[in-house]
Amino acid sequence: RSSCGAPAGRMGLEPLFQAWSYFRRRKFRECADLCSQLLERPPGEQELDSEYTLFQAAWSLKTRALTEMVYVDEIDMDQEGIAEMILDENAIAQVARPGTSLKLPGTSQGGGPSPAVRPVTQSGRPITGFVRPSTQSGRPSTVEQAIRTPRTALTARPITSASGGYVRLGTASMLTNPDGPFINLSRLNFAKYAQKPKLAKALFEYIFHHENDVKNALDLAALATEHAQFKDWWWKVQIGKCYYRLGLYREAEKQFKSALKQQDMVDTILYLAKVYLRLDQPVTALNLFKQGLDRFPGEVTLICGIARIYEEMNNISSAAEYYKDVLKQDNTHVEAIACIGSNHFYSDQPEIALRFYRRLLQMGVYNCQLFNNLGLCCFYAQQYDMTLSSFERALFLAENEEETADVWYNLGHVAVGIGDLNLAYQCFKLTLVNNNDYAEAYNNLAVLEMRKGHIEQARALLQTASSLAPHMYEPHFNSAILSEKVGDLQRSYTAAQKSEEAFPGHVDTQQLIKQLKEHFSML
Amino acid sequence: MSLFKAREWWSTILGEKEEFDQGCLCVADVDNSGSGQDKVIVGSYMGYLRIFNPHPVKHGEEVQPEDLLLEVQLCEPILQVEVGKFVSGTEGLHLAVLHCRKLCVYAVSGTLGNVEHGNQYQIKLMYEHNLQRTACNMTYGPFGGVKGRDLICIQSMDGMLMLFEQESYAFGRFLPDFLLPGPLTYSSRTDSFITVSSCQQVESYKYQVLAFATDADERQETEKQKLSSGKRLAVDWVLNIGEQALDICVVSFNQGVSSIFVLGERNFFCLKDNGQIRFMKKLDYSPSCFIPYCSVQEGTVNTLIGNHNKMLNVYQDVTLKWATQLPHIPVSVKVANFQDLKGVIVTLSDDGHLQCSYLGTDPSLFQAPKVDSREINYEEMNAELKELQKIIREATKTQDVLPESEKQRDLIVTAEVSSDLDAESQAIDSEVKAEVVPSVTVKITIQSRVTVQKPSLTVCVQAPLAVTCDQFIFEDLEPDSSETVVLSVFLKENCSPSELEGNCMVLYNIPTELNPEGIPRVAQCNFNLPLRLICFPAQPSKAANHKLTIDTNKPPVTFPAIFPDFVDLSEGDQANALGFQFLTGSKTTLLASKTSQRYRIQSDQLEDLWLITKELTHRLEEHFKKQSCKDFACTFSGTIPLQEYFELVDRHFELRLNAEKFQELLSERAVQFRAIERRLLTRFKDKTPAPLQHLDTLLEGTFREVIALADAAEENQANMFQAFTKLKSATHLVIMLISLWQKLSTDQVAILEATFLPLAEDTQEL
Repeated sequence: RSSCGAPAGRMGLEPLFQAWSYFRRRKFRECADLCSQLLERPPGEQELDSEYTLFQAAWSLKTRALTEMVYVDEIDMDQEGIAEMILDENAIAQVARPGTSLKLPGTSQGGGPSPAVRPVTQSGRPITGFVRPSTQSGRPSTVEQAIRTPRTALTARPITSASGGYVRLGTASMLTNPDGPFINLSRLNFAKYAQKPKLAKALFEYIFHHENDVKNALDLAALATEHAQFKDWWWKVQIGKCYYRLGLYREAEKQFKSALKQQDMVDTILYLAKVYLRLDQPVTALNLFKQGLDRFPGEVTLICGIARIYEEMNNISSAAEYYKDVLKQDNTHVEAIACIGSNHFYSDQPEIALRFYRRLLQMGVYNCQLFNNLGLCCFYAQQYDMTLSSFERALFLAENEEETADVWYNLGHVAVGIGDLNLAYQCFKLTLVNNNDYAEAYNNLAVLEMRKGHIEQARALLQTASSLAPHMYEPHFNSAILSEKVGDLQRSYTAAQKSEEAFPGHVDTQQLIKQLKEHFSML
Repeated sequence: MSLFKAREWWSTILGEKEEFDQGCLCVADVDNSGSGQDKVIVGSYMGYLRIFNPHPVKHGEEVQPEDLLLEVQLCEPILQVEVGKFVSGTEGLHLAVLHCRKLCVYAVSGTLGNVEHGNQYQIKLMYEHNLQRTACNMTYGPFGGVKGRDLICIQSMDGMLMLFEQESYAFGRFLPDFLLPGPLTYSSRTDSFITVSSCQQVESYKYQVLAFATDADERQETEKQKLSSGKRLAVDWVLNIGEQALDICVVSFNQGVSSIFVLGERNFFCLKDNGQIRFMKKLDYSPSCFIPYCSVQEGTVNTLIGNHNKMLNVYQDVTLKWATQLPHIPVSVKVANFQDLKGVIVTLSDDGHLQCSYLGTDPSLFQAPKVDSREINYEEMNAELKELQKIIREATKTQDVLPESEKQRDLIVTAEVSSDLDAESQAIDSEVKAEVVPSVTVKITIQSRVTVQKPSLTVCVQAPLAVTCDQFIFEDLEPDSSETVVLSVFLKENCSPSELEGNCMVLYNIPTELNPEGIPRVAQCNFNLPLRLICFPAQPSKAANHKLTIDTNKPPVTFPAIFPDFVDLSEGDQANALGFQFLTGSKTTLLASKTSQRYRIQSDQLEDLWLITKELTHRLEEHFKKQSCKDFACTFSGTIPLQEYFELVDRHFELRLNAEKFQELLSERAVQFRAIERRLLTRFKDKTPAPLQHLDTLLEGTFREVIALADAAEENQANMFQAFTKLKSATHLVIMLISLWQKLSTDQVAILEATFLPLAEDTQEL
C-alpha cells in the first residue's frame, strides 16, 4: 500500500510551491534562484493565460525575496547630512524656547547631568547607553561648525549628505544579482503596474528598498494611490516615506496624517513622529506618541520612542521612567536595559547598573562593550576581583581596534584609581596604539606627563587632544593650567576660554579665568 | 535574547535531509483512543507520514521506539496534514493528507498487542480526490453550519478555492485579483473564509456567497472542476494591513468574543469579527510561526510566537510574558495534551527537528567561552613582568611617540644638484616674466641595503620654487639595489624665494617577521640649489636704497675667485663690483673694497640683500677653508636696518588683517546666499508657486558679491604670500646680521631662528 517506487531524492514538488515555501522560511536566496528558473522557462504548452499568471506570480515572489534580503526597517534609518541640516527651510525660530527643541543640547529642564559627570558626544549630548543611528550624528548649528568638526574613527560629524548612506545600502542590487539588476527600472511602464495593486506593492518595495531609487518609487506610488482613489492608506505611507527621503517633510507629514485618518497603524505613527523630530518639534512628537499609546496601549516601540526623545532633550529622569515602562511590557528589551544601566552608572549607582548589565549578559548579549561596562561597574562598586577578569574578557572579545582601545582606556582609569601610575601610563599608551585618535587618552597621558614634570610632552599631548576633540573641556582646561604654571598667561587665557565654551558651568575654569584677568589688569 | 530556555521533554530528529513547513505538523487524538491523549502527526515534503505518541524520557536516554506509532512513505510530497471529522456517517476523527494533486483521507487505527511494543497501527485510505490544480493549503470546518462533520476547502496555487463535502466535490471558486496564495482559515462564527491576499489585505468571504455563486455555472460544473468558474466573488470585508501574512488563525476562548489573529511579516494583529483591529504589535524580529492557545485572564488571549532568532515568545495580548530559547527555528508550533501533561509546546523545524517542551527557569545555556588562561606560576610571572618592564623602560628612554633617528640607515637617499643650469629649460607654467626661466637638474638616488617595500619619494621645495615632478612611487627594492630619478627645479611664481633649499623624503616599509606588512620608515636629505637659478649677472649699479657692509679679517678676494659663475672673464675691468639681476626684476650689487677688508651689498629692496649676503659669506668661508685658513670670520658693525624690517612686518600684518576681514565678509555673504536659496526653495516647492518678488535678482546679486569677494580674497592671499616670503627673507637677514654683529655661536643662532623664523606656511594659527 505504501510502496510506490519510492522516488529517490526530491519528490515532485511544484517549483512555484517550493519557492513559496522557501520564502516563508526566509530562505530568500533559494527562493530567488527557483523563481529565476521559472522565469527563464520558455512559454509552455499550457494555455497562455495561466502561464502568464504563473509568470507574474514568480516575478512577484522573486521581487519580494530580493527585497527581503536587504530589508532594513525604514524607521530605524536615520542619517542627517550637512546639506539637509543647513538647507532646512523648516526652521522657524532660530532661538527655540527651552525644552522645545533638540538643537540646543544645553536646554535641559530635568536637570541633566553635567559633562563633568557624564561624558558628552561631540554635539554636546550626554552619552547614551545604546548606539542608535541618530546618536551618532550631531546637529551642528552652522555649516562652518559642521565642517570644522574633526573626522575621527568614531566620528560625530554628520555625513555630507544623506544620500551617502543610502547609496551604500543601495548597492544591494549588485550584491544580490551578479548578472545585473533583476528589473530594469527605466523600461518599466509605471502606469501599467500602478493599475495592478497586487504587483505594484511588491514592486514598490523592491524599488524603494532594493534599488533605493526614491524618485521612481515615488512616481509609482503616486500613480498607484491615484488608481486606488486615495483610499489605500498604505500607498500614502509609502509616498510619505519617499517624501521623507527627499527631504520634503511637510509633504510627508500630510501624507502620514492622511493615512492615520484612514487607519491607525503603529508604523504610521512612528513615521510621523520621525518627521516631527526632523522638523525639530520634539514636543509634538511626544504628544503624537502619547496619542498613539491611547490607541495601542503598551506598544513597546511607541514607549521607547518617547524615552529616546526625552533622552535627547537631556531629560534623563523622564527617559528612565519610560524605559522602565518599556521593560514592564517587554522585559527582554536590550535597549531599555542598557539605557537604564548606563543611567544608573552615571548617577553614581554602579551596583544597580551592574545588575542591569548582568541581566544583559544572562540574556546572551556577549560582546566587548558589555564586559567593558561590567568591568567599570565592578570597579566603582568596589568588586575588584571581578574587574580585571571582566576587562580580560572584554579584550578577548574585542572585534576591532577601536574596541580594544576602549578597554585599555578603562583599564588605565582603573590603574589610576589604584594608584599604579606606571600601569596607567602603559594602558593609555596601548589605547593610542590601538586607536590613534583617542582624545581622552591623550588628555590623560598629558596629565600623567605633567605629574612627571615633562611639560613639553604634556603640552604636545594636550594639543593633540584638543584638536581631536574640541568638544571636550578637559584638554583645554588642562592646557590652561599647564600654561599658567609655566607662566604663559596668554596661552592659558585662550585655552581657558575654549574650556569655558565647551563647558560653561565649570567652576574651576571660571576661577582660572578670573585669576588670569586679575593678572592682566595688574600688568 | 532570553534568560531561559525551553525545557526539553521529548524530542527526535525526523529522517535525513527532509523538508518541512508550516502545514506539516498536526496534533490530535487521531486514532480516536478516547483517552484525550494527543498524538503528533508529521508529514514531510519527501512524502513520509509519521505519527508519534511521546512518552517522557529519562534524562540521557534515547527516544523509545514504541513512541513512533506509524511511519509510511506516501508517493507524493505531503503539503499539509489535518485531523477532523472527514468521513460521513461517523464522528470519529480522520486524517486528511494534502498532496500536490491529491487529497487523501485516512483512518488511523491501532490493534493492541500483548505487550506495549506489540501494538500495531495502520492507516486505511477512506477516500481520495484527484485535484486538477496544484494545491497549496487547506482548511476545514463545519462550513455552512453543518453539525457533526467537517468539510474541506483547498486553496490552489493559482487561487481557486475547491470545496469538498467529504467524499464528494462540491464546487470551486476563483478568488478575485489573485497572485500568490496566502494563509487560509475558516471562521465558524461568521461562516466565512479568511485569507490574506497579494494586495496585502485581509479578506473575508462568506461561505454563503461562495455557495450561491455556484448557481451561475452549475452547467460548467458538471463538465469538470478544471474549468474556471467565472463569477466575481463579493468580499464580505477587507482590511488593509500593509504587509504579507505568514499565518492566520481564528479562536474564541470565551463565548461571545472571537478573534482573528494574523501574523504578518513585521506586525502581529488581532482583529474583531468585522475586520477591525482590536490590537496590534510591532515585532522587532522576523516571526516564523504562531499559535494563540488559551485565555488565562478574562478578555485577553495568550499567543506563542516563534521567530527566526530561535526564540519562542509568549504574549498576553501585547505584553511579553515569557521568552524562551529553542534549539532550532520553529516552522510550526502547536500545543498538545499528553498523558498526564497538559499544554506541551510542540515545535517542528524545517530540517525535521521535532521537540516537545515546556517552559521553565532553566537558564538559557549560554556559557561564556573560557578566556585563554594558563596556570599562573607567580615566580615565573614575576620574572617575566620584571623583564618586560625593563624592556619598556629601555624603550621609553630611547624612543617615544616621535622615534629618534636611527644611526644606521637601511636606506640612503642622496640628492645631487648638477653644477650647470639645464641647457634647455625644463620650466613648466612659470609665472615669471623673464624671457628665459632657467632650471637646474637634481638627481636623486635611493640606495637600499635591505628589502624595502613600497618606497615612495617626495621632493619638496619651498614656493615660489617648484619641481617638475614631486612624487615618485617605486617597485619594491631588493637588498643592495638602487633607484635614480631626475627632476628639475625652477622658479615658478613671480617673487624671489627666501631659501634656496630643497628636501626629499622617502617613505618605505621594512617587513619584519612579526609584521609582514612592514614597519613604515622615513629617510630624507636636503639639497642646496645654485643662486644662478633665480638671478643672472648684470651691470652693477652704484646707487641703491639699502646698503650693508660686511667686515672680514682677511684681505679681500677678487670676485672671479669666489663668483666664477657670475663673472664674465672677458670683461675683467670691473673686478671689484658685481651685479645680480633677479628673475623677478630687482637688482642687487656687490662691491668689494680695494683697500680695506670690506664688502658692500646694496639693493633697492631689503629682502633682496639676504640671498646675496648669505651666498657671499658662504662662498667666502668656503674659499678660505680651501686655503686652509682657519680663523676667517665675518663681522658686521653697521646698524641693523630695523626700520625697514618693521615696515615689512607692518605690511604683512595689514594683509593678514585684510584676509580675516575677507573671511568674515565671505561667511556673511554665504549666510545671506543660503538664506535666499532657502526662501527660493520654499517658493519653488509650493504647488501653486508664489511670485518670486525679485528674490532671483537678489540671489544673483549675492552670488556676484560672493564671487567678487572670493576673487579679492584670492588676490589678497597672493599678496600675502609675497609679503610673507619677503618678510621671511628679511628675518633671515636680520638674524644673520645679529649673529655677525654679536658673534653668536651656531646654537645661539638656532635659538634665534626658532624664535623669530615663522613656520613654513602662513596660517591662521600663526
